[in-house]
Amino acid sequence: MSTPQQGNGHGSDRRRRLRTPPPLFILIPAAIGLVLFVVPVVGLLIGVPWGDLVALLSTEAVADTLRLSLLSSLAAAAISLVLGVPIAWVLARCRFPGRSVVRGLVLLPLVLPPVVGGAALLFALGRRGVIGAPLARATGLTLPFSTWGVVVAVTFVAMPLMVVTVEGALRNLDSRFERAAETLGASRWIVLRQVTLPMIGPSLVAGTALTWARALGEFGATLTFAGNLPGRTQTLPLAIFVALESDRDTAIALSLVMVTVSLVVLVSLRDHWWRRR
Amino acid sequence: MNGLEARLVVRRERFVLDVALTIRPDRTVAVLGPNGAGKTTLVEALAGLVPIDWGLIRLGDRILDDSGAGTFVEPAHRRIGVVFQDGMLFPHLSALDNVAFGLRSAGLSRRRARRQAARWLAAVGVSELAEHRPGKLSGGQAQRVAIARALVTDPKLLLLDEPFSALDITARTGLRRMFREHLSDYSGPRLLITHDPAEAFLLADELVILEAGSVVQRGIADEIRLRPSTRYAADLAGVNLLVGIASGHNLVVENHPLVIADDVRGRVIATIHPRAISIHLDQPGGSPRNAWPTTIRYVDHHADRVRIQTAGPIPLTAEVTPDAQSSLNLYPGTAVWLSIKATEIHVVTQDSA
Repeated sequence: MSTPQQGNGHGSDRRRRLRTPPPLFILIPAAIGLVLFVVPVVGLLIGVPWGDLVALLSTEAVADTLRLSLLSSLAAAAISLVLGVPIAWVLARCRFPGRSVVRGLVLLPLVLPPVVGGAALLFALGRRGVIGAPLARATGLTLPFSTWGVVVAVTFVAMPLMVVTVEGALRNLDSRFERAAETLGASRWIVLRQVTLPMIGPSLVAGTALTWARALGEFGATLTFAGNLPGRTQTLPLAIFVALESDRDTAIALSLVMVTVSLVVLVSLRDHWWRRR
Repeated sequence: MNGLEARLVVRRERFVLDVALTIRPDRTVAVLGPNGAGKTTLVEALAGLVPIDWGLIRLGDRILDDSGAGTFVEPAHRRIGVVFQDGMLFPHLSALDNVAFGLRSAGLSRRRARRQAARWLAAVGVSELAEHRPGKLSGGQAQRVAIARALVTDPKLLLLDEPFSALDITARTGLRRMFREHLSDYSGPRLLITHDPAEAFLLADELVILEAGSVVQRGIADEIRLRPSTRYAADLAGVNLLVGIASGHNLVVENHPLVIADDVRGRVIATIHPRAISIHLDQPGGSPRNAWPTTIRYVDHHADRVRIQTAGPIPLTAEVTPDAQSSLNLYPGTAVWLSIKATEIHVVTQDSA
């Protein structure tokens, strides 16, 4: 009870369970399933033109794409921290009618085909959209087919990962720590900054990394809402898709970058994310 | 009137907490009660952590809660120190920063807060643990840090919510001693929540017994012992309280040696529940560690049990069923043997050894 972030179950039980080999009726289907995940990665690695890798990745077009992808995905992660964490807080801590509807809306982009998400964004924020038209008239800002459009699209798709991760952490957090802080004279802002956020720190890190990785890999919503303009809206996945038609080696080299980055994120998160669920 | 004056009602799903409580400065009131009686709710209501449905809470000359006037002072501004059941130290902060937390919240600079916190850690005897995270502390060490954290902000009321319940006997003994010292230094009113009668008798000036949200009895220990008003109070009151000197597993009470399970030294208060005392007509076999012959002095009939008071060498009250009392022919003057298992004698160290 005093250590809120530890996993469940008794340590010795767990260790014993981990040492027993699984029975064959578990092992065989698991191995077959694993093949599905391993084969594509192996196929990619075999196809990589290792000798030309550096040359392929150092062209100006690739640099533009990488820069745009990094910028938009980092922006999505930052926006998700600023806006997604408060959403998670409200969902975890407040009871109000329609809360499950709100949660459903927030999580919708997780299950929605990204193309549909992009289309919805276009209807709302497009040049003639419900919000887009007045926005364009008032500020001259049009989001579709702009770099900001990319940021909006990838944030829309990726932020739910931040919300689910942080909401879970806030639910698991023993609220008595925060109440203890209050009795010590801490204002609610200090409680949030000095107690709540540090105590869910691992989940904030996990949420940020997952959000960032998802934003980096976003394809459908970006293509639909922001298009595929090299240097302006063409992110890494879009560039890979285009290159597959014309320049297979570049496509494979870029894919290798994506696989490496994503794998590094997931492997380094293994403790923060998987065990807490 | 200085001190705490509270009259409050909190409606919960399983009970309604309805309590009137006055604690003068420099006095300790112990609230005793079974699980689910509303003890923790009382602490939370006083600290402002749960809203009261009706009532008035006054601490010193400040009104903290007044349902009539709609007054509610936020927990952060109540100046009430709370020591929680499991310490509730912030796991991401060192012991020192845990103690400094309240001072930092009050606006002190990091350096001054830490310097003052370090003095408090020294006062509770854990200076060397200043840089440790709570996860590295034993239960007793953590509660020392917790009491320092609560007292460092100079609270106007101290709430102790079962501060010893998660500790083993050795840690408890040292910690109680430290509490007695610091409680006598602290001049405000103190409320101790506990379910251990010996602890209440030892640390408190006055006892309040809470059952199902209501106060069923209050008074000094002797009043409750003489006239228990409910079964729970009677259970508490009927507990045999002995004072003796312990050395290792031996306890000497009124020149009579007893064997105890705990390894303690010095003056102790021992409690023995009446149901833990067996009565035999002949010398019991199986060599129980504590057994002696005596005679019955009084027999008190209650609804579903009979309390039997015995003469020396250690006068004790035992409890049997009415069936056992009549089948064994237990009446005043009957010669009997008493036996008590060593594990049924609970000891609390009274002073330093």
